[in-house]
Amino acid sequence: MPSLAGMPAEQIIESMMAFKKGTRPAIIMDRVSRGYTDDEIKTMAYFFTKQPLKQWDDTTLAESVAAQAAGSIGAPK
Amino acid sequence: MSQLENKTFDQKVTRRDLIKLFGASAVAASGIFGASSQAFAKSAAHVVILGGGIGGSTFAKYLRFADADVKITIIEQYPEYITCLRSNDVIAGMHTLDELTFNLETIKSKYHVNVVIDTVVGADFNKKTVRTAKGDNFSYDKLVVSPGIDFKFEDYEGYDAELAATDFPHAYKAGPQTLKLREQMLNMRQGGTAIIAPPQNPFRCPPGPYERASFFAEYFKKHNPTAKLIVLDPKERFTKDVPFKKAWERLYGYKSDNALIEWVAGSEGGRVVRLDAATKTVETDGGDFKADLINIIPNQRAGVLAQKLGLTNASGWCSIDRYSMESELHKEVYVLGDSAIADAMPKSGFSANSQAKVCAKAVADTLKGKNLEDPVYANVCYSLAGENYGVSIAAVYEVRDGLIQPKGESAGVSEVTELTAQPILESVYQKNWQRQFVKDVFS
Amino acid sequence: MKNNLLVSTIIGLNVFAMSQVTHASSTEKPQVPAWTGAALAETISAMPKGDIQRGQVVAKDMMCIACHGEQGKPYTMNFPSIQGQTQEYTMKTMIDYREGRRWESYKRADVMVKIAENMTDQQIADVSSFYAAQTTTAWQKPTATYEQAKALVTTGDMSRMVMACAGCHGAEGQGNGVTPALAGQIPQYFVRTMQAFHEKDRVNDVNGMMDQFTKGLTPEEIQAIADYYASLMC
Ligand SMILES: Cc1cc2nc3c(=O)[nH]c(=O)nc-3n(C[C@H](O)[C@H](O)[C@H](O)COP(=O)(O)OP(=O)(O)OC[C@H]3O[C@@H](n4cnc5c(N)ncnc54)[C@H](O)[C@@H]3O)c2cc1C
Ligand code: HEM
Repeated sequence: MPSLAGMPAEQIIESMMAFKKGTRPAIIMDRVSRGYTDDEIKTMAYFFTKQPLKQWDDTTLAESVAAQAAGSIGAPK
Repeated sequence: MSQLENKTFDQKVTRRDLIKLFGASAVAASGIFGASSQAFAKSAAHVVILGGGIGGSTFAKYLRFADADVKITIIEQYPEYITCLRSNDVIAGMHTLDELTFNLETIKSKYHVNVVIDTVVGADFNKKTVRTAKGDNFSYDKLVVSPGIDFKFEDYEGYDAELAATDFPHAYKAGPQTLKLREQMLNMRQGGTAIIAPPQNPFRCPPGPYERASFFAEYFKKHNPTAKLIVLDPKERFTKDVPFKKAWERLYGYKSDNALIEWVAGSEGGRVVRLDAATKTVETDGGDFKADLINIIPNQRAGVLAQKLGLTNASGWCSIDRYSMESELHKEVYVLGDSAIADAMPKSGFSANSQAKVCAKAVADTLKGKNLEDPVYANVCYSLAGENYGVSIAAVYEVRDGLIQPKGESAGVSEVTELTAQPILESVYQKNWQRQFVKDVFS
Repeated sequence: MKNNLLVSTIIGLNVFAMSQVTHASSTEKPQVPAWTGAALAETISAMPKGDIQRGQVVAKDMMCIACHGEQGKPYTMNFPSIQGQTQEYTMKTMIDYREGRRWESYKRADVMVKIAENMTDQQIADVSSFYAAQTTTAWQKPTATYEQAKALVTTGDMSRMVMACAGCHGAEGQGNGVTPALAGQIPQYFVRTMQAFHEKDRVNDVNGMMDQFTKGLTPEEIQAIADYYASLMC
């Protein structure tokens, strides 16, 4: 399962839009994505992009809270 | 959703915005609320949760995220909780019950929740207290009830809880019965007949009986190829029936001459009305079926505790306010999970978890005197139609016209495609999801 | 009730012990011998000839394109680029997944393991030749550390026993046989892979060479090299 923390917002938005339109083959995201408006997708993307990027492990709650407080951009670029 | 519009990249997304959207999905790992651990003030509100299963445990954790200062108590009857999720895998031998067993230790220590192992026997909604079997009383400011389900044995002449605990396990609460059913499947004579009788709607885990049927067929295919499984269903259709039946065709010869699995609809005499335990025969509207193994999954209603507390209506389930999960019968009492009437949402662990998050936010906001926001719920039911063959149903939900309904065009079951990898990937996702999910609930 | 539960749990464990034999493949890391150069060469040369057209069909049927993109360039940073990868390396990778050599961090790779377990040698050869036939494009623009990384990649640093990557992976990062192409690779994936080699979480390379060659690199240098390769195209 891909992790979304620290993922560039454009990649999240593009993926969600592609799932929604059906241009990217999906297992489950086709249906999940159709439940959200474009604005909601953007809001979520901006949230995830600010979470600290962790390669192997899940982002913990404490890390997430700290990242939010600092308004960090998790992705390196 | 108006307050979400016009957000730019640089604007800080508030936690409020997010919980609203996520109500919803499994994002615990990136936590949205923020918690602190401080000593609780005497005047702090006390929220008491009855039942530490999927709904109750998730609620406790997420209420802590939403409110660092509130006092939280869970009263749960058993020291250990065995998740029903993946309990069909135990029947198939892909999991042990141990791997599905959890406790509330992490919830207690990490989120400062008071955990009481005791059985709740009554409540006084006027005095706002609950009573336990050991004779303790707990007073609450808000009460949250998530007691799961109860079985309607009375719908089947000759079947009762005692038979279920011995030779005719329903195995629809994970535990000893799950193992018993596995043992019966393994020991069934070559060329024997097994019957699975799913319940009438609504019931916990709508795909559960059909996943179980698939596992029986998969086992027979490998180890008892002349055996047969008959699914005696009171219904005309069931959840994900299109992809399930396709899988049965592909894997178990469904509809062919040597089908390992046969499905009988209600109109074809599928509704079981009686069990003759002595002769191992079930009677349906359409006649008698004799079998070597009989697995009746009884019709259901809200958990005994919900009935006892007077939270159920004539349907046998608990009607709730769709914005908060607060009981429509008793103020300041909230009902989560299988016991609640949640309209289009199926009775699943995923739903219970999603409802618990919405409810945690609603309770926290109410305690702080804030207005409630429009909730977003979500559910995905992943099932296996074989060890490496997954099928799913998914939807995101909102409240519309007073009912919980799919949001946007989100509702749907797995498309049946000719792509080899699709069911394989679904089965992998199913396992990944389960791993993440129990973390979200219990740790 | 509690006693009952206990007893049955014990019974259950016995039952399971029995059944584990048949299901070991899905839960336990298989015991596979590490590659020697000779064994790897032999395995790869024994693979059937791949067909690009058939490979395109396999890429769709096995849903590679859902994660790695239509031509092997992924939609997002979460999945590696396999665009223009050498046929030999893609074949080796699929065999490693299938046989359990790439069980490292199973939780991330389990999608690949399951997919590979369901593929024949012919399908693996076909899909690998399809991806080998695609042109590699850059994933990102060159960064400020480009020149520093280029120096390291092309000449190495013998004082620290850091070998020149280009020696094996090609001057343009185009790869060579079972040595993978690195051009256009997703930097996050690159960094993660290096970390896996260091932590011996990934051990499917011949003679554990990758760990030896890269031991001396600092995390900053690894990031710089990742960014460098991500900006190359062939
Ligand atoms: C075979 C099977 C497979 C399933 N698979 C899935 C799946 O893959 N995905 C999914 O999402 N869902 C699945 N489910 C459904 C899921 O298990 C339930 O929907 C979920 O557990 C409901 O949560 P709940 O909080 O309402 O009840 P429960 O989780 O049952 O929790 C109720 C808790 O209340 C406690 N309790 C009850 N009465 C009292 C009392 N008087 N005093 C104290 N404590 C009390 C109980 O001990 C229990 O711990 C499956 C179910 C089955 C049967
Ligand atoms: C609002 C919540 C969600 C958002 C914003 C979201 C977003 C995304 C995005 C952007 C991707 C692409 C990742 C990549 O390519 O690197 C993705 C993939 C995926 N997501 Fe989600 N997701 C959400 C909820 C869920 C839920 C609830 C599940 C499962 C229960 C899920 C399961 C998956 C899976 C399995 C993939 C792999 C791709 C596929 O579907 O084929 N997601 N998601």
